Amino acid sequence: MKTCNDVLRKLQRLLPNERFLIDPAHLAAYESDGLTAFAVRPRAVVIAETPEEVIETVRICHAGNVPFVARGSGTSLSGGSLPHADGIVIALNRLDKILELDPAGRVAVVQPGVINLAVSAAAQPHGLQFAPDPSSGQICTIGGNVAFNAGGAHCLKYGMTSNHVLGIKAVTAEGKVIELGNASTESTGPDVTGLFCGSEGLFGIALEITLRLVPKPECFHTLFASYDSLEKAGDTVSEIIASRLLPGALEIMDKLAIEAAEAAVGAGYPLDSEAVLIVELEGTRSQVEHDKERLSDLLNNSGAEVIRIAGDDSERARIWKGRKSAFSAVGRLSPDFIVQDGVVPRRLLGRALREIREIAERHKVRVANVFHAGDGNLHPLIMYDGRVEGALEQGEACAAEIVRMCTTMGGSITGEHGVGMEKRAFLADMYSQDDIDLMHRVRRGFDPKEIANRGKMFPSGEAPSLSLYGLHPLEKAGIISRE
Amino acid sequence: MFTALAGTPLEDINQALSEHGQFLPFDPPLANAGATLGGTVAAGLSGPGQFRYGGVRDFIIGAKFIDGSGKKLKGGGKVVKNAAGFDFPKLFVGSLGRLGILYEITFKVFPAPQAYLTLSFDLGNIQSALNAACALAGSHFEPFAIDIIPPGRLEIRIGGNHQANERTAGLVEEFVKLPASRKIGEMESAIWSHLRDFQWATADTLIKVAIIPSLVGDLDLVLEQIGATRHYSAAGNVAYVDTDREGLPAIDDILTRMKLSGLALRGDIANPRLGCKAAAEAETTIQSAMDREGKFLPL
Repeated sequence: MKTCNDVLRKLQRLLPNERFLIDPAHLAAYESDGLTAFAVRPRAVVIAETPEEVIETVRICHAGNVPFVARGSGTSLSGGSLPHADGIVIALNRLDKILELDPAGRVAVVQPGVINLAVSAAAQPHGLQFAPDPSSGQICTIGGNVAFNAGGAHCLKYGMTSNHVLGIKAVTAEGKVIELGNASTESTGPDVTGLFCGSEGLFGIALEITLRLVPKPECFHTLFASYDSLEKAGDTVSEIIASRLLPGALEIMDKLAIEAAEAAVGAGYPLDSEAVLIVELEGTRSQVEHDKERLSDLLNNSGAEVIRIAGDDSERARIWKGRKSAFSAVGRLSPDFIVQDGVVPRRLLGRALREIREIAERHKVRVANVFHAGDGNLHPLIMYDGRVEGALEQGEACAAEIVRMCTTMGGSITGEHGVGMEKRAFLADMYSQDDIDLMHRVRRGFDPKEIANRGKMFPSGEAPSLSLYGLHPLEKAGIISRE
Repeated sequence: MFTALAGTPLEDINQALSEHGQFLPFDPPLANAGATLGGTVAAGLSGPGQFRYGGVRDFIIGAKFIDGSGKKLKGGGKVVKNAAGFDFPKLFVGSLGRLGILYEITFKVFPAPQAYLTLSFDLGNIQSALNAACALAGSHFEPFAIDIIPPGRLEIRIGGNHQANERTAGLVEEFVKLPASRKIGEMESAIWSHLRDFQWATADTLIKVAIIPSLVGDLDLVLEQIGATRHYSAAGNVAYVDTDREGLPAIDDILTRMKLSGLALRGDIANPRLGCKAAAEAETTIQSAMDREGKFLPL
């Protein structure tokens, strides 16, 4: 405690009062992120404005052995930016400069607090875009995208955040400044940039990120098809993939998600259908013209009830608005919900959907399904009412069973949200103890005191966060644990 | 996706994928010379086709390997999207076999385009070729490959439906404001096997250089002065330099001075890594954590 107070005093000297928050009323805003079931009050919040302040803060924390959590907009759905009760939060939102934009080289160099969509907005006049498009793109930051290797609806063709990060300048948890990668799409030596992406903040904090920009497609062909069963929609996805088409996006929403989205934004999805499949082709006009005929033949024979093709940009936007607002729209159906992020092999999609329904029925919870079907990335939204005794536990038990279903099928516990706080207990379902030990050793190479985002990703073992609100239901359920 | 043992020849992979209408979009070089999947990952080698969808790092999704103490380990998985745990598969790209021995690798794959068409432009000099390459790279024509052969030849590969390719080719010619020679079929694929498999490189040392388009002009000038044969790929993001063994120190100097990094792909060289190693400290940190007994050569 004495060293922590020492650290706080040093930080207080480093920063003006309005950027060093220590008053509980100010700290309250930082207690939670997108995984609202958790709330932890940090000791203090540092609102950094320069990379030098971040570096100095990290060095002070390292010297005083005080954990820190880097935070952008706090949109992590896995609890990735949940504070540590004995630590500080380093808020990076004010490091929001696009330092360089080179249209000829198709790269942008940005600070970690730059908003995801701001990169595409800056690139737009040059006909370029930043491809990763998480649903939270209007508020989430590039630093967080990098730390958790964020995805989005267009991963099928473009890949995840790490496929668009060429270089990183970072401060390690020890306070050393390292430079990884470069501005070329080519590299020599091991791909440390690729390792840093998705390392969940366990190595340190990215200060400058070099992003690859890609041309905006000339033409889109966006449509939705509705089905009287989820399986039919799932099977159509398999057929599209097998037909050698490569759509930019392939998304499915089930009945509950359709109802929620319709109530929220009125995207025009048919309310009487069991599933809506969204397909987006993109590319040169001549290629899309050709592909859309093949797609149309395929969909006409897929048992689709309604097929609606976006006639212009506003209709395209409307179709996407329904999909992108699905998470928040489910809030209209239920006061609380858990978002799962498991992945199954694409060929098992139909079976996975059937099993999810059975699991939900068994646990007596309502589950809305919204997912990146082309990647096999599921997003079951498990609904519960937090005010009802035992409801969260029921939801968590259902979520746990869905995650285990994914690993049993040979998939992953997380496609794009990261492990964070939420899925720590499941990491061992995918990796052996030796594999996890190796991750620990690499982490300690950059962070020997394990102060950077302490308590995340690894199954217990290191001091995790303390909840101020008593035992978390996940802990009661034995899904997570702490020391 | 597919999973294969690391020693599987690329030729076998290409054959098996094409039977299913799929391909490795990063277009790995030297398949006909017997290159293996594991060697391709360890060397971090991607071919001209990397321009369209990305390089080997963008398609590797899982890796199993053996560390210096004989332990079997793994990273990543067998699904196309996965954010669980550290991305060791990517780390192995370019690791030169010095972080562990890969034995099983999983890749995601894409459907192969139905046909290709290549446009060859003669822009006269490197700078004009480079300018056209950058403009096309930022355009919505979505070429599969953009390569430059000094002094001024520009090869643009278009992939997709045959008729769509023809239409796009016409638009690309309008865009470049020059007529091009058009190739399809075997003549077309010969252009790319010549480039992809370095058939043009006849000296004993071949070097890959990671570069950015704005430095290609400067590099080309000095390479011209020392008489090295070279070729630029991925719209000026990669240079391949062919030189005699005696020319190697000069190239190492040039790369260091220009803050570029290189890798000798063949030739009798003690340390294949050339030029600048900006991430050396991080690489050493990782290697010490992964190979505690120091069984592998330093990176």
